[in-house]
Amino acid sequence: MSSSPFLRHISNLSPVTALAFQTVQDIPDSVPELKLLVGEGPFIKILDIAAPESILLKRRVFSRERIHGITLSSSSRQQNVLFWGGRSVCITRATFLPREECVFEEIRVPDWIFYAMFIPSTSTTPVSDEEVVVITAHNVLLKYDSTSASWYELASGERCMLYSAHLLYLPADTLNSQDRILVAAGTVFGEILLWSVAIISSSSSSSSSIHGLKNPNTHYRLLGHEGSIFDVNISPKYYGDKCYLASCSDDRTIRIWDISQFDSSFPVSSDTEIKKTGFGHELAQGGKCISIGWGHGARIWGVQFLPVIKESLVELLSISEDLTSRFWTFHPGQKNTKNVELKNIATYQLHSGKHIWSYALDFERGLLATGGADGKIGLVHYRDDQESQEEVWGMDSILTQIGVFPDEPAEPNRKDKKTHDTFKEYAALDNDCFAATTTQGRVLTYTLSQKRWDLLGQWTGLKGWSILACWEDSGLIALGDHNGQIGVLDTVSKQAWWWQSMASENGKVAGVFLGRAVTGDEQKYYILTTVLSPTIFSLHSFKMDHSKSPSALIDRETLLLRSPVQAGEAKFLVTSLAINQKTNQLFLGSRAGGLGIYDLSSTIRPLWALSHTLVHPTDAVTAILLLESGILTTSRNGEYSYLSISLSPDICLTKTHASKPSLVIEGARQQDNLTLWGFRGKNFTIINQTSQHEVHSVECGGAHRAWTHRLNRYFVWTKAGKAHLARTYPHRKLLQSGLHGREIKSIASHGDLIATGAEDTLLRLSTLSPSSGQLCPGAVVGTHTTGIHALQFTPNGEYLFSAGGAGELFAWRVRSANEIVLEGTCEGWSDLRIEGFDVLPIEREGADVGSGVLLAIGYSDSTIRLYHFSPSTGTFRLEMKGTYSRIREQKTCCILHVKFLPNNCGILVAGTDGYLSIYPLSKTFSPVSLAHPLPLPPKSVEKRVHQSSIKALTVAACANGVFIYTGGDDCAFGITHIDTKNSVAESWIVPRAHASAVTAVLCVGVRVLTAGVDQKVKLWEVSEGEKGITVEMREQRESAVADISAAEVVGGGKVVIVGVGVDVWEASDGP
Amino acid sequence: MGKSSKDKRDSYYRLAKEQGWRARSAFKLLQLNSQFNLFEDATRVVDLCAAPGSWSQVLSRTLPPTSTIVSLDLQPMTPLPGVTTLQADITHPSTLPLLLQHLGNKPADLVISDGAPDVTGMHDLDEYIQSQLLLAALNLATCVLKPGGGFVAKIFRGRDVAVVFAQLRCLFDRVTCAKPRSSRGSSIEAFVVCEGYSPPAGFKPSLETPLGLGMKFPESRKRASAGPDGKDKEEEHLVDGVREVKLEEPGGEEEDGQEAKYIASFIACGDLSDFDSDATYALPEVDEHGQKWKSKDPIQPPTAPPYKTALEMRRQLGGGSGGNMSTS
Repeated sequence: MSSSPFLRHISNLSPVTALAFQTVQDIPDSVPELKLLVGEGPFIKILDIAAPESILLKRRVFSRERIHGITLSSSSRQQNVLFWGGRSVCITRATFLPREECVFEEIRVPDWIFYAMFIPSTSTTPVSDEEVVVITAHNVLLKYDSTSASWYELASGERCMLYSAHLLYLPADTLNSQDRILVAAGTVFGEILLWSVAIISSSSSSSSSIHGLKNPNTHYRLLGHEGSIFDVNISPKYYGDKCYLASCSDDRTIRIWDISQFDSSFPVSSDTEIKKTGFGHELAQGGKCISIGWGHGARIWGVQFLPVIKESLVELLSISEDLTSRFWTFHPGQKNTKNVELKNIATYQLHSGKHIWSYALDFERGLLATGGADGKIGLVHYRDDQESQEEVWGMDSILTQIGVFPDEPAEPNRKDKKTHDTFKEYAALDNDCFAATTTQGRVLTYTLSQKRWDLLGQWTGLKGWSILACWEDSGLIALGDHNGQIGVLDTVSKQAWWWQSMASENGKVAGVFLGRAVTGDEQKYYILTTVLSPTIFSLHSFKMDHSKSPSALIDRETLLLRSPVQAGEAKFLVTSLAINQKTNQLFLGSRAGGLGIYDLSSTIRPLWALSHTLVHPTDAVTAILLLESGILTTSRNGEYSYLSISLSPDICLTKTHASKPSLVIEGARQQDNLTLWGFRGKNFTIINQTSQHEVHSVECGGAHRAWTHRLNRYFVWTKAGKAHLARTYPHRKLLQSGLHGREIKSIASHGDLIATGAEDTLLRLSTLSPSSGQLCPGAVVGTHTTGIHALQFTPNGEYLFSAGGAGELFAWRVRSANEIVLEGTCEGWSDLRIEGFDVLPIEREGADVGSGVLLAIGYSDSTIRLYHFSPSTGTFRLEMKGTYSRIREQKTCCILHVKFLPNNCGILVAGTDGYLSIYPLSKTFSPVSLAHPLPLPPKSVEKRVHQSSIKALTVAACANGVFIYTGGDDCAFGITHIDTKNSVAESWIVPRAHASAVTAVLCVGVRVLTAGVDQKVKLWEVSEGEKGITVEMREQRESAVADISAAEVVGGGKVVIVGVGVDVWEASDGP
Repeated sequence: MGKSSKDKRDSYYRLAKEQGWRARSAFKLLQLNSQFNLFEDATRVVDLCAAPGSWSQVLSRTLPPTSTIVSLDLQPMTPLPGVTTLQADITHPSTLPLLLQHLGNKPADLVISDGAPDVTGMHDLDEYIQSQLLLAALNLATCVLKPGGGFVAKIFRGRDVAVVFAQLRCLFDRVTCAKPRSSRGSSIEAFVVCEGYSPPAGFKPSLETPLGLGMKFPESRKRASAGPDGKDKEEEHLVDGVREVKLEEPGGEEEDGQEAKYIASFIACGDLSDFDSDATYALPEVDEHGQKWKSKDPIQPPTAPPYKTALEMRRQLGGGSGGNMSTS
């Protein structure tokens, strides 16, 4: 068929399975640019390292194979690029890559390959100065002959099934007159074979297949792993001719083997004699495991040696299913090589879900790129990151440095304890300086660039009790003491101003919270102080007069505020503050999760709170950030939320977005991205919530300690009486943001807005760019505890419902791709799953009463429940309940789909038994004022269409009823016409429509699209003729998405297919 | 999650324990047999990748006592009455004489294999490894099967499943893709049931030069009668009351003309009134003895995972529960 295709592939998002850095120097003598080549399914992309999310080029390399590896040659004449994966390779010149006219010629290999590389040409009439060698899954070494366009066998190792392999080219040297290839092969049964073969130059390509064959030498059979070998890597020759092999396995270990002597070792016996196979039956033959590395929490997929010995250490990298990439080091050349410690020196986690599949290293710049199943690409400046060392100080060394010498302990013990000084509080002043108070009342500063401590002063009021805070980048700190005094200290001029925080209050200052307002050139500083039993807070303000030298503190004022709590309520213990100078509003957050708002322009004294709202029930509001519209609050309960504020008629807070990343949130910054920091386990962790990755993590011992933090600079904390400082420079970023890290199971859309739910338990919103067809990620919510299997928007897009395992069903209010808030939780049963449900908005004239959404939900135990969801109260009320069963047999099944039919004529139900059933809904069904739920009415239609599960279903209204298009686990595409008035159903089946289960069915214009686990997308034309239904397949295409689970028409003409990744197609109406 | 929760979510898991099967997969073979009558006239049967042994158990309980049953696995297996258990690699050339010796040097009537690798999550790789396991089983089967014999093996219904069907089609009269109701609908697994072993003239099976590796697959004799889209004119397994749509010439591009493809007809087996492996059921109130129902322990504990030592290490270090330690 020569007509233009109906389906045009426009974008995809797939696991990143291959990465390679490429240095490009377009103009001689210019600074070389670094590019990243990315393999995603059968496509390659070129990314600019300097500009995240910018794709310089995207091209299809293979027709359907996935790219598993990219190898760049180091040839002097020209740089070649080799793409390989599955049973295909493709060779091209690097300089051709960016050109539009670059043609990718796919070369098929007779077997699956695990590694591919270039070797110098052995042909006397070279087409190129390089040739390609691959190792197959059956341990066979093949070389490609470009003249005859065929593969020939160089050698075959011991016959076995491999999971991994690595090749190293060994040029001829004094010991070996011939060039050789060294092969490391990791088998499915946990063995590692190291063998080599000499390469004989062939005079002509025709005879090469005979002369090229040579018996391979098996040097070592390395045994010890307790599971399949997922990667092997041969090290370069290190100092002292040391050479190692690294392996990683299903058993979660990395093992290092000394293979330095492989050349002089006796050949290992061949496998002609009968031997038992499997795990751990034989002793290792040669080579010894010198070290075992533990640490990864799941399977390890890749391991590679770094080429240089850093401080006499051998360094290597590993990537894992556990989402981390880790650097390891060990000491080579130790005499006792039995127990060499393989030390995990750095761990990076930039991915989510499961699996890092690929990586690339640039040793020159110290860069690591990682690619995950989540489609993310992470970039780590690993060398810079690992160079910055932690700094630690004991108080004594600081006191010595600043010239304070502790008194000679005349009376040890008691007196010593009294004068002994320890760290109390910290405050980050700027990028280069932080302040600290001590229990002896000292106020210190530390300058990072000069590595110097300075004493600002010592105050008796600060002895034993001090509160420290600072206005960032102002040079000013605020102090609260045990006599109710507050002080402002200029860290530059070392001037101090002290005053009583509250008249007639001599107790401790319990809290000091700072704010700042800028008007023109003038800064107004605010200090809110609280005492231990606060019903009244005092808000101090002042300005600094910098015209004088030294500067003077002027215009000091104090305003009294009444605590926002009403009588009888718990205390309002202030934990955070923000001042909006435009609206003159003061926001206070409390330990109980409350938010109080004051109008500073009000003249009432003491000032009353305009409102008090519980925004984060159960725990403290740790930060309040002012945004363009509204505020952002963070809480120690792990939640952060965006609130919009309307003032008239009454002040009203609306939560527009909330999410709960697994972090005890202590602070946040909102710029282009939302950055959150806080504690997770024993670590202080900074995360980029927008792109969902860990920015930094410092092991500090946990949350209960004094600490301060300057974003992207440093983190200071007390641990075991000592002050610690760790640099938190942003050495990690994402080059590509990706989506779900596990299989996507459901999709719903409204306009360009897409909601996806996956086995990673996350619900994600994104938008489909109308121009590029790319998915632009938005908000992420992780409220579900198991996989999300069904999603539905209400027709107006205001509400989204999500359901899945553990019987969970949630109602969400959606305002944009970045704004989603949980509005209601339906009752659930942990044993049950929800695979399908539908929503029907109910409009009631006049009042809110009765308006809402009707939900029909199908459960895995065959129950069907109808709930009424009330948006105003966020509650679900059970209206109808029944159990699905087939009429004659009284048998049940797992329900997979529930749909409200057009014109409210009933509920369509389909499940694992292959039947379509309709439960009629009476026109008078009124989901209000029912004391007890109604029973499910008897079925009006029951029609078996498929042999087993109906995996996909779509309904189209027609003149006298509906057409129901179905996809079955039985590979069939079904068409059922139901005359809803007379309850008559008629079905047609296209058997073997796909080679495997048909998991997505969609109406696309006048055609029907099906997609299945066979990764085929088919477009069908279904017409009703005199003889019944005729079906014609109009088009079939390959999808890069494995395990396709659903498809959806988005934004008019685009089809979005989800599974392991996302495929976007543009559907034209065609001829 | 409690034991009984799994009993509710997986009826076959519960039934396997109650009926004394070593694994729930026993029901898959029972349901395949009820559809295809696999054991009719079968007196010499080979079970490949047999451990922990639930399929051998089915053979042991179902076949007459005079039958010869030989089970092979890489892992050791607890003995079963009437079953010869061998620990051997099915791809190793030495396995064939060993196997033939235990079959009394007579050809087998049926070869079955429920083997599967631990999946990695990389779909194309997992399907490839599974297809290689299937081909290894097939290769051994061709060495021992009598003409007209049968072969049943687990298959992953993924991207390239039609290529595997086409390969099997070269050696058997009828190839069907069967999914027992005890196999989860959400799982990619199904079973190929190959009936009527009839290798082409001159076909010499061998473990030295295995099919697909050392040896090319013979040209399928059935391809001539196959339709233009790779289907043959076999009867479809349709449910009652639906009509088959005869496709006109299919359009679309033929993307990979080099490899033969064949979509085997599909059959869901096991009675619809059997338990549904995807559904959740209420637990029985009383057991077969009329006693109050209690969740039973599995007949055989699962084989030790390769990461067992890693788990122990973590426990010693006082780390968490190791939430990432699951394999799939």
